[in-house]
Amino acid sequence: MKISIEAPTGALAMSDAPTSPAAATSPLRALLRQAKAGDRKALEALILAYQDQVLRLAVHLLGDIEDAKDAAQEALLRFCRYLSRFDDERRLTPWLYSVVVNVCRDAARQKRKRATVSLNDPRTGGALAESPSAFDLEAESQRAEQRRILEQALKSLSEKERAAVVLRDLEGLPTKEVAEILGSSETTVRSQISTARVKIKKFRDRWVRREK
Amino acid sequence: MKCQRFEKLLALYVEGDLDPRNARRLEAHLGDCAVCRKFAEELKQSQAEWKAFGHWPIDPCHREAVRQAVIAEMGGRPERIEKRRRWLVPALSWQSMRTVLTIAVVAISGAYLLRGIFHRKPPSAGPVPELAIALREAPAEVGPSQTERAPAEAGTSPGKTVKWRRRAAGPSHTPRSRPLAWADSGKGAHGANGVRSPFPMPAGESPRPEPPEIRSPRLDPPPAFQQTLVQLMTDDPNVVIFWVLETSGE
Repeated sequence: MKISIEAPTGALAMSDAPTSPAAATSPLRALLRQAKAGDRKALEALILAYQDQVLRLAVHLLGDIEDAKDAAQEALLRFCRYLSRFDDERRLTPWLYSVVVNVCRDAARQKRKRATVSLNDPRTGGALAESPSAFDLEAESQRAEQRRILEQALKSLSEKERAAVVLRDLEGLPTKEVAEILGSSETTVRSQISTARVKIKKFRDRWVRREK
Repeated sequence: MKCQRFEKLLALYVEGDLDPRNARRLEAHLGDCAVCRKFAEELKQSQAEWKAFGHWPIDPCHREAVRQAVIAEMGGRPERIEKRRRWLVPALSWQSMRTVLTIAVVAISGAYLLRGIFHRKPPSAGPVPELAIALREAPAEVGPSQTERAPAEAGTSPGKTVKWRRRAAGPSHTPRSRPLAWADSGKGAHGANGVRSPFPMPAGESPRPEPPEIRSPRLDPPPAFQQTLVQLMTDDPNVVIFWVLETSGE
């Protein structure tokens, strides 16, 4: 994974590769060590490097940009708070993702009273859904509609299915890492991923049939 | 439809998540089943759209809002710690500690004095009367020795009935070395030590001489019988045993 950030000292290109001698000397690792040592600038640079991933994951898991912003903020604060406990030999991204997943899980529990989206009602408005204005181009309108449908499909999944399929398909993590982040077995994660993919396909098929 | 059981395998197969053994079996099935082939194609298209959805850009203003909030929160923590330290520093200064120590010394001294006033023992009642102890600890068969005749008040007329009561301990009690004898005075009923004899002496009869034994105080017996009080000292100096011996006739 390549991350381009604007660190206070200038633009940096850092790779979050698995633990290796080369990775141990990467700029990201050096930044991580400085942040653990109490360097405030290094910590801010780390936040800058990971905030996009954290916010996007939170949006996908919660489906609401305002909830996702709160969750991303809390996850990044936890990241800063517990950074001193992080083992340098491990990869940072899975650990950060596990923090985000836990925060989003807590946030989802708090808003569980909200109405769940039914598969039979794909047009229920989502928080991220943006109705295309009359000035949008047709292509842009179609993409926005497609995005809205996929958001609704994502909301129709269970919490665990959503986390598994987002981490596997959208974040591109291998099944083993997804299992570690979610605290499940690989078999369980595969089952959740396959169920989620089938549900998303069926949700999309229903929407396509309605449009026709 | 019997091919439904392949749906979940196909969902893994299209992304390469299926293990090789099941993948070979599924590929063999796809060669024969047009329905599953169509399902696999639709699944690939759905996955492509779904993955493209993951790369949908997020509005930069949201990112910036999160970053500013996190940095502001991080900046707030040291300030709170600093406030705590500013509160602690004057509390730990030498002047405040001296004041606290002074208050503590005064409080402890006052408590000690008050404790001495309220817990002062009453003045000593003198030596513990052995008789009372003896009466309390005497065996039951002693009988009459458990009680003593009450001392009569001055001016009590002779011949009046003397009540028997259990003796109460007190400073006016007969001390240990005092002989428990009723010595007849000229008035007859009152002894030399102020104790009124319960046995009125007949008129014109002289009192009997005291027994020579010091340890056995002489009692003032009536003419009909004689009483002798025997005092036994035990190893325990606080326990004294008395016997009252009565002999009647010759």
